[in-house]
Amino acid sequence: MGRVVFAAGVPHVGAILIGIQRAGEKGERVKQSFDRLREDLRAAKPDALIIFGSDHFKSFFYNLVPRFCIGIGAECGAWDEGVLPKEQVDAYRVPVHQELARDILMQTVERGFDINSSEDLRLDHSFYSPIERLTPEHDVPVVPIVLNVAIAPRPSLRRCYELGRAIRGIIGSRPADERVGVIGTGGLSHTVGVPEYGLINTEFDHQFMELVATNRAEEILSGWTQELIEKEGGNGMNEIRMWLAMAGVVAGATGQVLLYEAVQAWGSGIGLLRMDPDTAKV
Amino acid sequence: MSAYQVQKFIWELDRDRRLKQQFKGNPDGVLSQYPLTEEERRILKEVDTWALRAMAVHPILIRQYTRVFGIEHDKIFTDGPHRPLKAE
Repeated sequence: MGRVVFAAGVPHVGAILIGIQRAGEKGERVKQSFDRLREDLRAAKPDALIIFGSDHFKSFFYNLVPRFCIGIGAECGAWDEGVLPKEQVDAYRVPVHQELARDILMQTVERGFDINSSEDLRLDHSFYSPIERLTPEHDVPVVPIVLNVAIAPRPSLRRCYELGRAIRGIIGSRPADERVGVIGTGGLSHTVGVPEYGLINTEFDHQFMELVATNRAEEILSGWTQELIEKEGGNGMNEIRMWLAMAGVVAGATGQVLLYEAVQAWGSGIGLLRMDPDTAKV
Repeated sequence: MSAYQVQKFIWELDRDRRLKQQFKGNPDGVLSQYPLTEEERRILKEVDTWALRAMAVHPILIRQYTRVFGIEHDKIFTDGPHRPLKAE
C-alpha cells in the first residue's frame, strides 16, 4: 500500500515569493522555515505531492463554482497575478502525477465525494507559491485539489477534513511503496478586500495550529462556526479548510508548529506546521 | 442581477493582460462593450470601492480591481471613495 511520508500546513500568499525583504526579519524567518521544510520534503523522497489549494477568482467565477476540483491533466500552468515574472508565468508548467490524480478522482466519487475534475487546470498563487518554495525544480509531480473557500456556500470544515480522510484511504489502496506527500496551503488570520484590512489574530492562529498539531482537529470541526472563523480570523481565515483537508489525510497524527509570525507587512498571520505522518491512525 | 455584470467585467479584466491594457488606454470604449448601467460605469471608472462594496461585489474582486490601478491593499478604502482612472 502507498503511504503518506510528508504532511504540512503552509502559507500561500504571493509575498512568500516576492515580499520577503518587505517583511524584514520576519520575512527572513519565513523563508528560512520554508528552506528547512524543503529539506524535510526532499528527505521524505515523495513520488507525488498532493496540494490542497484554492482559487481567487482566477479559474472559477460565479458562472461556474465547483466546491472541489482536482487537476488530472499531464501538467498545470499558472495564472498571471503579478507574482511570477511574466516570462515565467507564460512558460509555467508543473507536472501532475496523473495516475494518482485519476485514482483519487475515481475513488473519491465512489466514496461519496462528487468532486469536479479538470484536464487543464491553471494554478493560482495558492498552489505555485508553495510549489516554488518547496519544489522549485518541479521534480515532484503534484496532485492539485482546489477547495472553494471563497464563494459561499463553502464546503464545511468537516467535509474538507473527511475529503482528506477519504484520500488517505485511496493512498492506502495504491501500489506498494508509493510515497505521497501532502500540503494544505493558506493564510491564517487575514482579510482581503475589506475595510478591516490588516486584521491579524495571533491568539486565534496559535489556537488553530495547536489544535491541529495535537490531534484535536475535532474541536475545530465541531466547534468553529463560519461566523466565528470570519469574526476572529477575517475572511481569509476560510483558508484553514485546506489545512484541515491535509490534517484529514493524516488523521490521528500529531505535529509540530515550525513557525508563526504576525506579518503586518503582508497583512497576514503566517504559520508553518509539519505533521508526523507516522503517528497517523490508518 | 446587475452586480453580476460588474463582477464579470472585473473577472475578465483581471484575467486578460491585453484587455487590461485596452482598458487603461480607453476605459469608456472597453466599458461600453459590457452590459452595464451608467452608474456602474461611473463606479468602475472612479474606482469607487465603497460603492462596489455596497453592491456586494466580492472582496477578492474588489482587491483585484484596485490592483489594476496599483492601489495598495491597505489603501483600498482609505483613499477613496472617488479616484480618477489612471494607469499603473
